[in-house]
Amino acid sequence: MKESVASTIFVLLLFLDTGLLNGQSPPGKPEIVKCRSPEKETFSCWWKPGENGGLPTKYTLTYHKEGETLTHECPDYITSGPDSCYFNKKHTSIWTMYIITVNATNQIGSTSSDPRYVDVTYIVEPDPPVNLTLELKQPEDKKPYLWMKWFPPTLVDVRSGWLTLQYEIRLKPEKATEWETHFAGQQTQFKVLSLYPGQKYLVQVRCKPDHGFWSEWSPESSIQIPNDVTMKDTIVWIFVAVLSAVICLIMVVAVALKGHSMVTCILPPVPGPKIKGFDTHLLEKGKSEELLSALGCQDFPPTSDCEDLLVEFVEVDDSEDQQLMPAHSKEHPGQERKPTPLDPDSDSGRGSCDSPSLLSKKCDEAQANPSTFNTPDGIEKPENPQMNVTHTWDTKSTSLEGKIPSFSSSGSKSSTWPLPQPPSRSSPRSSYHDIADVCKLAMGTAGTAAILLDKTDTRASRSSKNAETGGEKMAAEQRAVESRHSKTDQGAAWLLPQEKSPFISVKPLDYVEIHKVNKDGALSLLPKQKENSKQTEKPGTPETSKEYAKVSRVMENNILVLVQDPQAPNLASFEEPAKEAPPSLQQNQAEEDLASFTSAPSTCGPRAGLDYLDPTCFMHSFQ
Amino acid sequence: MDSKGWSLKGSLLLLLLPDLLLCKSVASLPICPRGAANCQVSLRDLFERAVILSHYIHNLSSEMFNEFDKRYAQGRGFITKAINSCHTSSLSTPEDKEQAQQIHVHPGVRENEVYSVWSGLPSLQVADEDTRLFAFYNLLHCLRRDSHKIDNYLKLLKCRIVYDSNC
Repeated sequence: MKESVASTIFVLLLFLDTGLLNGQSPPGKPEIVKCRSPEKETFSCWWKPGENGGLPTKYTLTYHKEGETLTHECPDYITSGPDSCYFNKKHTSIWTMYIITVNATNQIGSTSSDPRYVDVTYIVEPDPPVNLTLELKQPEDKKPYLWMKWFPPTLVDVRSGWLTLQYEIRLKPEKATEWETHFAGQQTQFKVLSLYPGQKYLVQVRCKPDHGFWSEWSPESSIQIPNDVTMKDTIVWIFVAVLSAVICLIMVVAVALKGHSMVTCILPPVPGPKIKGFDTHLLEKGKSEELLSALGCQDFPPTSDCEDLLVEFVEVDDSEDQQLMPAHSKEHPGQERKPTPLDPDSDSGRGSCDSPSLLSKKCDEAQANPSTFNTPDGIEKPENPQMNVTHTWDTKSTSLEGKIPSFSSSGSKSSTWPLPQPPSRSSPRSSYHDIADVCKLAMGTAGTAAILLDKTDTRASRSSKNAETGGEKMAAEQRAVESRHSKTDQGAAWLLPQEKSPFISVKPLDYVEIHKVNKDGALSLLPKQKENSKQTEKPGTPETSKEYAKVSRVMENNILVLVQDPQAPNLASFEEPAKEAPPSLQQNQAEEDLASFTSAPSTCGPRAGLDYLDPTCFMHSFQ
Repeated sequence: MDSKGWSLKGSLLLLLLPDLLLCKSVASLPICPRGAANCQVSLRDLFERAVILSHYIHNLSSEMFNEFDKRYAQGRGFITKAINSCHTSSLSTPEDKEQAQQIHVHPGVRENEVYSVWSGLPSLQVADEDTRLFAFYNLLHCLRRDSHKIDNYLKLLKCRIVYDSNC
């Protein structure tokens, strides 16, 4: 007997040793991982096996309920997968504690896991919701929104109220990284309002029982949000863009092509005091023609009337003042009138250059403003320097214009008319005025003359106030004239001397007092019998009228061309400033009636005691 | 009680305080104003109100149990001893859905007026910490279960009566 026991033990030990020698051992301790119920009616448990000990191991799950003593084994090892146990409705009790144990058994031995206490009430974790549908709703006049709908998981009994589910949705644009989560409560639909147009959105939903765990997220559902901009808007924007591009292109091309001229138009260059081709040496030489040609003022409109006026005043004597009586006082300011008749010494009817001694001085000053003269001329008629003086005279008949050039050009010579007065002489301004008046009358309705007259008066008065010298006054007047001239858009470039301006060589000549100049360009001359005859503004008696000759023009060789005044018998016409257009100084007629001025003195000769030219001398030649 | 017991009491009070405040906000609207003789509330509103309250109470109970279990009951094996230890266990209550759906309310039936008196208060004041803690554990465990039952039954009734089993 002892031997049998010993042998049995030996065999057993052999087995064990064999097993140990082979590395076999009882299975490791399994562990129950989790137990879950999807609808609070069934549940499953999953375990994790331990080491199997090298031998095939069999796992069993045993349990017993709270309040019972019987031990049961798992009814279903298959439904929930490997290493699981599924408890169906029959085997599931709610509000009851389950004590579950998993046993691992292999050939050598078995091992049991720790018991797990499970109450189905608290392990509910449903399946995700099903049938998630997305729809983009676009109500009129409102922004579109996303409307989604889903259904509870199939197993969960919500209708009877056994389980109450709460839902949660989340969505994101396809390429975004963060989800946008929204709690939906117990409803099975949801609206999302803030959507980015043109994006593809992904949406998921999950659910949670009233006292349980959240389910997994449902599979993604996607929807494409259409773009905000309609086709019509796109077309409109494209059209606007193309139009803008075309306009920009046109502007760029225009600027590129005509940029310079545009800049010139917008910002006209400031005229500088520059005379084109002016050579100061010419002045020194005293060649008036050359100077004038250099200045390029041939085409100036100095009408023959004004030039004739100027030429008429031949320098005889610098001892006496020659006056040019303005015919009309209407257009003259009253104050300018007064000094003229009152002051016998004033050269009211004369320019500043009435004294040969001061001529050079004044003309030098005048030269200071040659640019002022010339510039407008240059600006206005640079292309017609060779224009015939007479033509311009005819068209413009701005007497004053001729006067100015005579001032400047004759700087080096004795002036033809009028000579600059010595500073001691008073009221040189009146001379300016008178000249202006005469010219104005000659021009007739020429507005520029009127303007010039007024302005000249202003300037002269101003200058006289400052007690400027005659030359300065001349310069001022020249300046004023020039300014007027530049302002007037008319081609009344009457400031500049012309190439053929009739600068008469200095000769002691008699002065003919011009009583007035009517619109027709007729000069009413007065024999200068008395000093105070200047006062007479009206034409004299018909007796004197016959002594008047109309100066048509001045010819090249400084010949004064007189023409018979067609209106000589009409005295009244002299007084009234004719409003008609200045009569064309008929050159043809004048030529026929040409009377050499130079020959006049030879034929007529200066009257004794008279310092004017007796026009009667001319009359004979006319006839 | 020693300091530990005081701390336990204090923690429980702290747990209860916010819950009570919440409870007050939920119950602050009396369904019938005081003194109103003929106050009629629809069954629907009544059930809605009841479900809200029961749900809330269970949430609180569950939170209290979990907090307590995490802090005081680890490694003590309380759960082992808490099997079948609720004073309400003797009450026959449904154990699954079929049984629960067969609950009928018959007012006036005496059978339903079975009271089970709770006599666990002395256990909560025992000097032995372990015993005391287990008493708390057991109390909270049973409270949690029973509140869940009530919540579940009310929801079932609501869906059956108010929504005709079509919640």
